[in-house]
Amino acid sequence: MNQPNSEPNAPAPRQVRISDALVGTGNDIFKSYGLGSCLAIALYDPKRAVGGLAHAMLPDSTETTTTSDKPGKYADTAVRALRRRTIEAGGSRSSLEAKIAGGSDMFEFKRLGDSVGQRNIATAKAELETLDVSLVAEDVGGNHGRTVEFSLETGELVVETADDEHGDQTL
Amino acid sequence: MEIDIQALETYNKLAHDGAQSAVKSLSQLTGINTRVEVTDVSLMSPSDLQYEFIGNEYAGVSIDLTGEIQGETVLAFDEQARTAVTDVLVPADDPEMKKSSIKEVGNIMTSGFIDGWANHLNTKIKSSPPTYIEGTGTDVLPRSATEGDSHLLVFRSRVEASRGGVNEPVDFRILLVPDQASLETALEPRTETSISFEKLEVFNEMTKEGAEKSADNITSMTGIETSVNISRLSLVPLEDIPAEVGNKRYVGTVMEFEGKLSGYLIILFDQPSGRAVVDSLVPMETEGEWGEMEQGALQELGNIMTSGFIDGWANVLNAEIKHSPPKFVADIGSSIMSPIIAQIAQTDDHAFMLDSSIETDSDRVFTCQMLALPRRDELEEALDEILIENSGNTKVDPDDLF
Repeated sequence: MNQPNSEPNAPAPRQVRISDALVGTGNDIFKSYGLGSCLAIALYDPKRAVGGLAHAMLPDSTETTTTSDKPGKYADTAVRALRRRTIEAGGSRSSLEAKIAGGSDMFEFKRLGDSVGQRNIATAKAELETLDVSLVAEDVGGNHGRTVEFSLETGELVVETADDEHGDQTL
Repeated sequence: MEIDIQALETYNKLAHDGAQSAVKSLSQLTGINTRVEVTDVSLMSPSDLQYEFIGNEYAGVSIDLTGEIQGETVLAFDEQARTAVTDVLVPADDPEMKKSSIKEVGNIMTSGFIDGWANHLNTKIKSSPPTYIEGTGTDVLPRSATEGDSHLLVFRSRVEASRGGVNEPVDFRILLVPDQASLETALEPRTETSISFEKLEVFNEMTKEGAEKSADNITSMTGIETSVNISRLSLVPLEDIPAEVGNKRYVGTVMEFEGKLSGYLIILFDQPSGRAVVDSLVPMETEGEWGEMEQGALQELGNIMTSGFIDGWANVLNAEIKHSPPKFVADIGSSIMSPIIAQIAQTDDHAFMLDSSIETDSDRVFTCQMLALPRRDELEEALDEILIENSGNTKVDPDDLF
């Protein structure tokens, strides 16, 4: 299989783990494995090639009893943190675009309650709307996991799936 | 011995930060980019710890610690990591120089790992000069992991590296095994959330027995001879759980259990093992992927394995524990775990995870991982109430403990 980054000295993708939110530019590549019900949120300024990727696990930062110093943990704070950090890194608030992927229902259980995947998607969309960031592409929902790779050079978000049924796509 | 769970979390955080500091040193020395995949604190038997280090060749350093924390720490590079480090530092074909470069790098990294502990405890931890270690299994493990049979509390970090634009499974591990006396001091209960070390040991032991029953059930249903090779109880930060499971594709079942203890049980086969199980359960030729018949077969097996697993808990806790019908899953490990982690993350940052690995004895071609994530408050309460007479069916002698 072709390794997209197998040429010598090419940058290795930096892993964006659960609850992380990373911002970068130039030839940075960010990757999040096995999203499941988690949501990948990519923010990008196409004019300045600066942006970031977050791997949010829960929807709403105000609904939990734990405290976390990681804004990437929740969809709402992840959107805010990515936007602020992208602007700090040189992005313009008026040209920011968002792409999201993930938010699956892997399986249903009584205690899991309403789908956390669906709530992650809804919360991220609402927060993007509040902050006036346009959502330009999405690959969300379903009951399969996804792995995403975000190129800061092109702004492309490549979505891979573990099964043959859904295949890979580029947002 | 009572141990303070919050203190344990704090030490786990120190181990994580220490590992970060160690990988930073490695990057500065060699230019190899690394990241800490997992840091957890596990309760495991010496034989289980040894098993984890059998089969691969390791090289690294062992250092004795004295002071506020006494014990041993080991930093072990796997074969690829050793090559990666020595290729950079000693390009010439000089085995002795390569050896001393590993010793030097290991020493610097271990200092980074230990400094955080000393700072937190506001004390000095003295390190012995490093001893070069090389080999497999007990050759590269702390002495305390090869002597005696009482469970060890082991802080472990697994680190992966990337080189030349490609993520490689180059890994090394940092182990810290504190001795019993310094554990007692460091983990002395200061809050209400204390737990008995010995009762955790009993719980881990009965979980292993449960996993052994599940392995027997696989064998009796499929004819594949399996046994439990590793069984450990870990306190792990939720965000590290996907890395514990890995980014491989798995097939298996997920169950919810409830009663005196509630939580989730996840049974994951790697793809070839899942296929082998299905082939032996479904005699007719089936169409490639995971159709209804294959799913049904795995669910049936999941059901029987779960009963074997959970009955042991129920017996010792003297309470009923029920489980839901199994849900079939086929995906990357972290995708499967994500909704469960999200559910726990609403109230906790860490989880107790019981991790048993079932394998074929001879070749490890067949692997199955059983993960149980009980609700933490219920586990603490249940352990509190474990009665001596009910723990009689475990291998640990209750008279020694309670």
